Parts: sequence; structure tokens; C-alpha cells
Amino acid sequence: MPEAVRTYAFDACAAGAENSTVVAPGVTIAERRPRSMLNVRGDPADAGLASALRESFNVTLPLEPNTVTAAGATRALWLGPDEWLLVSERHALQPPASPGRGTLTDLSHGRAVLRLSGPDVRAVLAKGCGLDLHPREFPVDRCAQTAIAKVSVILDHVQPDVFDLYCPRSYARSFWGWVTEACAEYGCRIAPPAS
Amino acid sequence: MLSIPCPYCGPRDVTEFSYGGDGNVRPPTGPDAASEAAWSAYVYLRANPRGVHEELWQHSAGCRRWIRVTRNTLTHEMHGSAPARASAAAS
Repeated sequence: MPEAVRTYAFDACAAGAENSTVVAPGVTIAERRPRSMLNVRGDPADAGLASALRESFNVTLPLEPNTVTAAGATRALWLGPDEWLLVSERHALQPPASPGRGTLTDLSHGRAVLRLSGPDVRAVLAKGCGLDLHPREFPVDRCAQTAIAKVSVILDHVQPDVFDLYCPRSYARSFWGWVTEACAEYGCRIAPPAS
Repeated sequence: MLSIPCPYCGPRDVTEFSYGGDGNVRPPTGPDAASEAAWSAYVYLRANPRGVHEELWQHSAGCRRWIRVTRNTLTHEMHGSAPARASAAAS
């Protein structure tokens, strides 16, 4: 079966806005286009679920709240004591046939993802987000679900000074407006989408 | 602004939470046999204490779990929180 043509929520916002000429940008914005996102629900102690995730995706679920485990190009984000988000850059994650007593739901089209990076990224996020994002409190491989500019966002600290923001795709245009406005004073480069 | 200690996520702004009311109000046991007055009390009557109050909150913009928070209604001091399910099982 041919794969359906995929459209991306930030396309309409970012198209034509790319500006690689900004010198020493405080923040760089790029849409991120992960191939696949799966929502996992289940008891982390369930051996069937754990082994299905290990065999299918080579992933071990993080048990500490608001942390991320990374396995190759796949990241597993803690969303709740019985809920996680698996995100893969490159692979189409196929839910395993028998995930124990867990449930896996493909949400790949549900959220749009922006990657913000640069020395001023925390100053931008602080304008709309009440969390303490200092590296001491919010180190790499920590995630959080919160509201940024009143949009419900999953925040993932991928690398030092690099944050992925997952917003509901129907909010993408409004969120894009807020992000670009918040970034403007620091010098903002809009980069082409990263897959 | 209140800062509510989520037992999973740590302290978060009150804007991330939805209020779930008094944490110790339970429906009358034996719903068919319970009197109209007992049902009326369950639905409408609340203690409204001045001081320590146990209440339910949902971390709706965060981990979406229901939690039980002990809060001083006079000073807004937070005395701790626990997952709602765990404390329901314990009582």
C-alpha cells in the first residue's frame, strides 16, 4: 500500500521565512519532522509490555518522572506513571502485535514539533513557561508537560541548549506566531526543517 | 500564584491544575438505601474549613494524574501531596 502523503503543520508558517543570513542568532528555530510517535500506556512492571518494547524498539521505558531514555534515533519520554511517548527520527514504529497488557497508539500526526536551539533559548522559553529550565534543575534528557504561552506543550531537553517542543498540530500556527515573536529580540534564524 | 507540589512532577504552577474539590467527600454507602438527605449532603454540603484542608487536584496540563493535596486554606501553605489512587486504597 503506498504511504499517504504526509503534510506538516509548520509548513505553512515556515515556508519562505527561512533566513540563513542572521549573524550570530540567539535562537535558531527549525521544524522537526520525526517519522513516528507512539503513545504507550501500561504497567511498567508488566513483563510482556517491557519485552515487547525491548524487542520491537530496543527501548527501556524511563521510570523516573519527567525523564527521557534514548536508544539510537528513538527517544522514550515519561508522560505519566503509566504513560510514555516514543519518538523516532527515522523509523516508522510499528506497534508490536502483543504488547503484553499495554496499549500502543500511533500519534505520529497528532503533534507538530519545533526545535529551538541557541544561547538565548531559555530566555525565550521563560517568557511563556513557568518551569525552572536552568540546567541544574532541568538537565539534558529531562522532559516536561506544561503550558507555554497557554498552549499545552511537551518539552524535551535534547542536548545542551537544544529543546524540542511538541505542540498539538492544530495549535501550530498560533504557537509559531508566539515563538517567532518571543525570539525576535535575540536575533532569530529560521532554519529549514530537520527530519 | 499557588505552587502545587505534584507527587510526580514536583512543584508546578496552579494554572497547570484543575481543582477537584474536597478530598474526603464520598457518596453514601448503599446508594439505593441511602436517604435523600444523605444524597443531598453528598452533593451540596461542604465544610469550608479555615485551615488545613485535604483536596483533590488533577495535574491536567502535566502528567494528568489525580492527586490529593493538603493545603492550608488560610495561608495557602502546602503540607504535601500524594497520588489520589494510593491514598484511596490506603483509606
